Amino acid sequence: MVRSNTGRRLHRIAIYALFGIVALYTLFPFYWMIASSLKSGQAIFDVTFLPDLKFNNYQAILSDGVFLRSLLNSLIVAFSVVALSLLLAVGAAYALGRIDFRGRSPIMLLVLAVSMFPQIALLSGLFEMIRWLGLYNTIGSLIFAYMIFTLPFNIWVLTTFMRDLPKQIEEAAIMDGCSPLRIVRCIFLPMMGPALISTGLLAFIASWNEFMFALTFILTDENRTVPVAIALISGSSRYEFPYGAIMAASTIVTVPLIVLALLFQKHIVSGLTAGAVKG
Amino acid sequence: MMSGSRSAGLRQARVRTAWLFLAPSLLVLTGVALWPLGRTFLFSFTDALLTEPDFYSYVGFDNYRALFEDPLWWQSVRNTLYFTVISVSIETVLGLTIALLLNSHIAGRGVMRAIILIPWSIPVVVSARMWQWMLHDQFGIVNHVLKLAGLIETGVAWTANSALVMPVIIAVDVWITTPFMVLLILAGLSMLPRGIYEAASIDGVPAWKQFTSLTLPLLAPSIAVAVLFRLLDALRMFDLSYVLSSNSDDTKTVSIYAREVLVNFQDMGVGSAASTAVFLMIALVTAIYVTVFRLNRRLMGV
Amino acid sequence: MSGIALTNVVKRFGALTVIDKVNLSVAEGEFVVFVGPSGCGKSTLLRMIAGLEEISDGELQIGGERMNETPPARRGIAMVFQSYALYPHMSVERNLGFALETARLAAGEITERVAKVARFLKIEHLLARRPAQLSGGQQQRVAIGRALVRSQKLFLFDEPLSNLDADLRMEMRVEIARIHRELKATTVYVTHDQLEAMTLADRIVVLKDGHISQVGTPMELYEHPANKFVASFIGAPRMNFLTGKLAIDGSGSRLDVLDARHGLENFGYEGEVSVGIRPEDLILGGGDIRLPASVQLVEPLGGEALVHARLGNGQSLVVKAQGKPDLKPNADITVGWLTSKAHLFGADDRALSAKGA
Repeated sequence: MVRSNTGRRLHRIAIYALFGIVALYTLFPFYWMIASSLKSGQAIFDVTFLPDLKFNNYQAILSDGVFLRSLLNSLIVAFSVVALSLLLAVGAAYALGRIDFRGRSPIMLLVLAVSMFPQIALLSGLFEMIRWLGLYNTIGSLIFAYMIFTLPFNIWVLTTFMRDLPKQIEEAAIMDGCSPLRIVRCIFLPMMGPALISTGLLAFIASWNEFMFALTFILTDENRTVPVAIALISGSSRYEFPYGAIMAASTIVTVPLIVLALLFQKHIVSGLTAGAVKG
Repeated sequence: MMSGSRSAGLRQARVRTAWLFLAPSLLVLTGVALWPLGRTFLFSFTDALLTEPDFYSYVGFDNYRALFEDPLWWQSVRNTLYFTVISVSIETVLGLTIALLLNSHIAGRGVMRAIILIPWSIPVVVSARMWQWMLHDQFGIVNHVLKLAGLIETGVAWTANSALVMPVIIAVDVWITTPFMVLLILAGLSMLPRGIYEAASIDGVPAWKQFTSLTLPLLAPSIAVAVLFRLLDALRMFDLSYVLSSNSDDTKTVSIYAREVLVNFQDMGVGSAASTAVFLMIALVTAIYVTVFRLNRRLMGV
Repeated sequence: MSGIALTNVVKRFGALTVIDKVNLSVAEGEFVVFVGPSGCGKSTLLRMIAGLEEISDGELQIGGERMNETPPARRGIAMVFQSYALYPHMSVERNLGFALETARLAAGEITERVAKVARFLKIEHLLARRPAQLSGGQQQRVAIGRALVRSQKLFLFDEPLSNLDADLRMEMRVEIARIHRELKATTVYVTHDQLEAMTLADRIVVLKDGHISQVGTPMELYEHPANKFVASFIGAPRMNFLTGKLAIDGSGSRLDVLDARHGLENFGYEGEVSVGIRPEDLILGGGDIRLPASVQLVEPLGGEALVHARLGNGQSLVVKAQGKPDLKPNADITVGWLTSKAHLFGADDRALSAKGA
């Protein structure tokens, strides 16, 4: 059953045609966002497929103190969440992955269950907790609240990774006089590079994108994060809707993320599948 | 220190280390998940208001009665389930198709894998805004193209038309989350043993038969796990609907309903009752799904 | 002071007892090898001395001090692992110095001591490399170096050579012997390879099912195995065992093996016995006791040959013969031995010895 040369060529052409359709479907909205952001003023309302390369929208949005402020807030929140969730998760993963103690399995189950909690189910209790902690309307409330979706995932993934590190390396370190803290810091952390990058990136992306808590726990403009800022940009009427500005702001918050995603593609995919297959 | 480590055994010292290393995480998880969940449950039996959560009295099942008598609640339940079933089904089929396409050994598939990541990494709020602009009734590119093609004469108000808004939201969700499905299924495909395909080819098993009798059954566990993750995600959908069609009852999900009662109406009691109902609903769906597909082993194992 | 004393040491995992009341003392400077089949508890016992496994019952003393509860790092020991367990992200130099770094020694002293050990082990040229860039033998040297650098008085080796190929194993065996000769540190070495045990040990501890089967110098174990297990474990090829019958005969004993019979000194034992004869003690066409056999296979090893022979009752024997005997399969021969070279084991598998001998 040898396929003919033309048959093979047709097959190949068909596959590339499908590739093209998928690429167009995936990329066009993204392209259109950037193209629209580069059109100035009323030009955005004329449908032309090529952008003007006018940067008025960017000037406008970047001279807007509130938007810049929310960009900064998002950065602070995302970096803090990554740092805090990794710090906590590495410690927990050492305990769960390397030490056999009663309570280990129940805690793993608890972590798995918590990672499945719908965020809405926690909203009123979390609201009370955040007010009690004095974090209401501060970005601290978000750093705290985002632990709900980053910490269980990180614990789970890092535990499975930590468990697979060779036992004798840890024992060699024990013989070398290392305390558990030093084992984690000087031996395991450097060996866990790929897992830390995966979990850290996923935590960063999730925190950068989160909307519901950011909408609920922040009251005033200067404390908002970018998703809420972008969602709340509106004009005085339907016809003055500042789509140019929205597209420019959207491009600004999206492009760094896409660069990250493309640079660390393999890590992201392995993080996602580690979470899915093992979690 | 010396006397301490002398009185306790080495094993006990290690167990103590475990709890010490776990303590911060357990504290945070309790503060951010377990305690709030418990309080939400408790509030659902009270008449607390969001403004003064400290003053409340117990009202029994009044909140649940109020909730279950609200037609809007039932509509949001229907919306959520409809959205979940349709969008997850489309995403699964489309995701499987694209994954199989990208799994072929052909130049350019690396680039395609990178491209496919883009919709997933864009913030949902941004995607919603982007599509809102593309679907604009007067200036949107979608209507423009449809007009050029002669399919419509005047612009369609995609997000304002109550018959169209749900399909539109599903379409946007498919665009956003199909890549997730593709990536997970691709990972599953890469774990399939190569040898059986070679054996099947030598035995002259036709390609479609290889797919239905080899690929699909072997891939089923990967697909099942990916679908579970999408289900959990779709059932708590919030931002897409909120941004794309904020006030429409046609796309109100249970998460939006609960937050609205809680935050906009300040009714902590009924809001918590709705939240609890969402929690139970999702727990129920998960339990049924996991039981039906016997996923327990795969989830808990290793 | 770095002698070890184990008193009634027990290790239990749940209901399973893997080490059962072991008593042993290791003198300062002695090289002791734990040997036995896999699962006999030899590694567990070593790890209990190291402090990597807790001692369920009994006492461990090192240098006269109770160590049961002392953390591994404070027991004054250094250990070499089977998988080498080098830190993959650190250079060889940092691997060697890490324990000193942990102990917060001055940088200058660390460099000095690492350099000294590197010179001693001839790995100076590898200091800048990562473990992944080293061969198995080089990794093993680094692993040994990491143990040496701490200048402890007690070394533990857990099957250090089993990941190496035959040539390297021989080379490293010689190297370990040299290290022990020069440093004179007390050493406990675990292996499943009796050849390593024979060549390295001052004393060998044979373990079986969590018990000590016999302790002694290599020659003691070879010449006077206390039981059938030790007899078959020590020496290669394995000792041959034949079934015989021992009876009291006047002032002496009489041994019957198949159709052959021979008088012996008084063993004070009557009944069925196992007669153990090492292949190198079997003689083709000679000996006090001779049995007819037929040749099955001749394996020439160069200077000597292994002759596999079958006795009349179907039992097989291996004979180690000098040179290259001119024997064809199925040839009829006689196989015999000097009774002084035979080991007798009673029904409980313990070695029997002549009364008043």
